[in-house]
Amino acid sequence: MKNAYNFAFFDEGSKKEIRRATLKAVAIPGYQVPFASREMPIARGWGTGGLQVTLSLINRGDVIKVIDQGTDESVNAVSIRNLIQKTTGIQATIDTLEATVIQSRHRIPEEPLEEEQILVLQVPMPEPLRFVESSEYKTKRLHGDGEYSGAWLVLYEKIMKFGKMTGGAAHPVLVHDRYVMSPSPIPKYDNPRLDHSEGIQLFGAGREKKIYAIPPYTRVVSLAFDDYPFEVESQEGRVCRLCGARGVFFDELEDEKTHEVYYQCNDSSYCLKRLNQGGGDHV
Amino acid sequence: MKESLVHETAKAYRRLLLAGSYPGRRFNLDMEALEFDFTMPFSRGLMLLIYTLIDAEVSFKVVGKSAQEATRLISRLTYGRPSDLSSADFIIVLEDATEAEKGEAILKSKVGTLIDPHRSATLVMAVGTFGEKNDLVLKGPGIREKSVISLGGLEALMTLREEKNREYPMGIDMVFVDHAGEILALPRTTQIERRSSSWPM
Repeated sequence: MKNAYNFAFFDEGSKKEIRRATLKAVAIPGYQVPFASREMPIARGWGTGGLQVTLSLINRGDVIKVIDQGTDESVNAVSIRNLIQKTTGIQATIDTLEATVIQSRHRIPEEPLEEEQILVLQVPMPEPLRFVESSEYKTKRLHGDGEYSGAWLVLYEKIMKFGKMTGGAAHPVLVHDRYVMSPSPIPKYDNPRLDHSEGIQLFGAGREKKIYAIPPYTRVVSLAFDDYPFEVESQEGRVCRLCGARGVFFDELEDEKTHEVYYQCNDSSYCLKRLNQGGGDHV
Repeated sequence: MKESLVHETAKAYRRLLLAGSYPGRRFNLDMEALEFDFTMPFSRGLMLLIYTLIDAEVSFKVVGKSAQEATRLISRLTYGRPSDLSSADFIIVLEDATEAEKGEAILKSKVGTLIDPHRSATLVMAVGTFGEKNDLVLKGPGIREKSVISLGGLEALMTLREEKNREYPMGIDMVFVDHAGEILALPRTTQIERRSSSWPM
């Protein structure tokens, strides 16, 4: 393949720096490793952290899948996938099980990761203590001391105000009994799936210049109180209008004419796979 | 950099990432297509790891009989900055280093700080072969239940590693590479016990 730029867009020096940060991240689960964060052809805040991690990983023979809030077809996912393909020539897929590297914004695919599969999550705000402490200098010290009163306080205040731990996404987790970590804005439904995953989970925050990781088979616990246990969004009684799936994470939609509320699998490729396998009851 | 080396280092990095993610598992660097047009005082696998990890932004220290020659070669090829044991980002321990030198490399390596635990050394240690002694039992992140490994004669050094890694998250990370290009990693989170005794190391 002839290109006017290096394989996977970056120069080799940039790749090396990101790779070194990623290796440290895997060695210290949940710890945010600073990195230089290069200028990318998309704006910061649009997935540049994830994209940089992905581009440093990709090699010939890889198969990439990119999703944005569960779908392979959103503009953001398509643009990022096109950029990766254009600069590497590798194959792309929408099948979770076929992909060697999956880049995602705000969802973990419905089908569990397998060993050696790599999930790269885009992170807008990596610091779980930022709501209570604006200084990076201070939050780094709080992490160093394992001083997480601030993270507990945020949850406590929600309970005092609303009677439960509100907040639909990015519920903080404790990784390997040491670091409190933001799992990126995934729904609470996905939090338990971070725990003891068979695959490798990497997190890239381009604007905030941080890379962190959860290695496979690592203990990940969502923060909760004894009397206010962690709860995922209830999907009870919901059925996918297209494929008939139950017990997965759903999008809630409204019929414009009848105003009837209906549900569809949020993971569109999982839904499509079920339909192709004849799992659809309604189509 | 030659185009082939772009892909070889990408492949080596992925194996390193897998090795670091699944401690104790051995991964092969697959170097059939790899060509170096120069000679080096250590294995090709070690050279590939050096190419993958080191550049002008990091410092390194080589330990072993041919350390001087190796240091010259590495800094010429990668622009990495030669440094001493206590400040090196990467410590490369050659196979011919004495036991005392290997021990010193571990003991003097930097472990980072509580605030910046990533500012710690990675030791890349060369072994002849890993062997089948299967004397060490590993537990920790990346290991489903436990993993049993051999370290090609470097087992005894693991007590020193334990010493360095006492105050997690500070600590050192280690990568081992043999003549066949097999690599195995022991990040700081991995707990090691000797099989023949119940002493934790």
